[in-house]
Amino acid sequence: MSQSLLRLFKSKRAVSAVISNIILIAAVITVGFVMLAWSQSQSSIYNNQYSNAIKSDTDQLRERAVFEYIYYDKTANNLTVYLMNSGTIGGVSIANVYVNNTSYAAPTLRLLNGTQTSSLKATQEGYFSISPSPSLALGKNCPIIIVTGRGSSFVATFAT
Amino acid sequence: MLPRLRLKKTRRRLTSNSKGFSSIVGAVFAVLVMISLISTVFVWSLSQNTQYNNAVRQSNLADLDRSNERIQTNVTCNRINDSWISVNGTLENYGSLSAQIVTLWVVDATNKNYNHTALNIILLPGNKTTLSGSTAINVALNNQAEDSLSCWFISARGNTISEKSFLIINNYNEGGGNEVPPYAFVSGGIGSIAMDFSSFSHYDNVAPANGSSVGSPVYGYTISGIINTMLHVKVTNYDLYNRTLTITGGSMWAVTPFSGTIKGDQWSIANVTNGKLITGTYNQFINHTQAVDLYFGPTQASRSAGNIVPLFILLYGQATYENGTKIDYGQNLPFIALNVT
Repeated sequence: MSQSLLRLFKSKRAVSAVISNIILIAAVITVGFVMLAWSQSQSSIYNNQYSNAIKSDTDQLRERAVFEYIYYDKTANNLTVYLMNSGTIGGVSIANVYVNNTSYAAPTLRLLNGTQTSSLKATQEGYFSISPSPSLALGKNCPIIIVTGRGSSFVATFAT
Repeated sequence: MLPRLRLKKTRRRLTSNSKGFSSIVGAVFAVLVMISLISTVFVWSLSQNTQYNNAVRQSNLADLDRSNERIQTNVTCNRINDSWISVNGTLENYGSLSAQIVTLWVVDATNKNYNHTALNIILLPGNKTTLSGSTAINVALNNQAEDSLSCWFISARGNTISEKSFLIINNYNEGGGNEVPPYAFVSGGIGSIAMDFSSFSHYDNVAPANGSSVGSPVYGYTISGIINTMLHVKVTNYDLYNRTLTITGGSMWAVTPFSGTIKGDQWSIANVTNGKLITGTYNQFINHTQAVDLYFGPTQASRSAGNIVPLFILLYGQATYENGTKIDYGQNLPFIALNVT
């Protein structure tokens, strides 16, 4: 037995094949792990992106805003829009308002008691005021579009 | 060689030869790992899609509920004083879903004032809430008599309920007196034109010719069936929607046929100006809250002679909204009976 082992160690034949095999296996394992890590990372990124897209879409679907009253004060050139978040999700903010195709970015949103707020919770009511430029003509029907922070848009028409 | 022996020999050769076995095991593991990864991603994607579909379904359901909300209001705005408005009437949920009323808006269109008040009225299906007396909703709003008011309710689902216009005719609740329903509300239930019962009079012996004098009015409910008579009554337009009414020719005051008469008598609407009968096309405009005199005849009520007969004022014409829209309008005013001798 000991002679056989000795002969095996002393024999130089096939050593290079063993070493090359070991190197090859090590390389394959390394590349395999790298590929696994990369695919996991890609998969995770894809998951996150898809998850965010789905969440954004579902949140947008749940958003509803209704116009309670729109009042235009010609003397002060002030348009006040009262609305309610009638959807099933909170965090409804106003990103843009379009009156007669003129854009007004991020008007200050307030609750009905006058407290400034960034967004409306579900079933919460609030209002914002803007000064249309140019001022609106009296006795006309004006379209108004509000675009929420999530990208939903709600349309109404009011008489000046 | 027997097939059984051949199979046994093949199995022995396979198990005794270890070459390539590790490759097979590795491949199996690789396939398992791949299947596991793919199925995980697939199931995860499916769950995301399910989540999205749920959101769509909930959203559609909410929209459906919102459109199925059925609340009927019959309310009026009464002036309490210069600073307060009282909203009275009924709210009825005749839908199949419970509803919550969260806000009441009141607008004084005359003075461009508006205000709102938060409410929390829960209406179960079929429930009816009466806003009256202590349950009437008072809203602070600067106003004056004869201002035009609008009010509407907002439900928690986001529906706007009952936007109606009212005219404050008088200070009904001034001084805390008994609440009197405004005329507009009363006439809204039976029609836009209200008749002043006490103004009824008739003119006797009027010749049916252009320019003939109608004479003096006779206040009473007995007329002769053998002479030409004209009938008169004062009416007021209390239309709920501030419409102007136009009464056209063809309107009449008629006796409905009843036992004892084969055909009833009728008095066609007529134009009387400065006490004289003017024949020709008839058109009578009645502005909102305006009171006008209506004349009918002359007619000889011979068919009704000897009977006490019921009379019906049959008015037909057009109602014109403030924006110019016109629709047909017809109303029947009963209540007066005559003794035709």
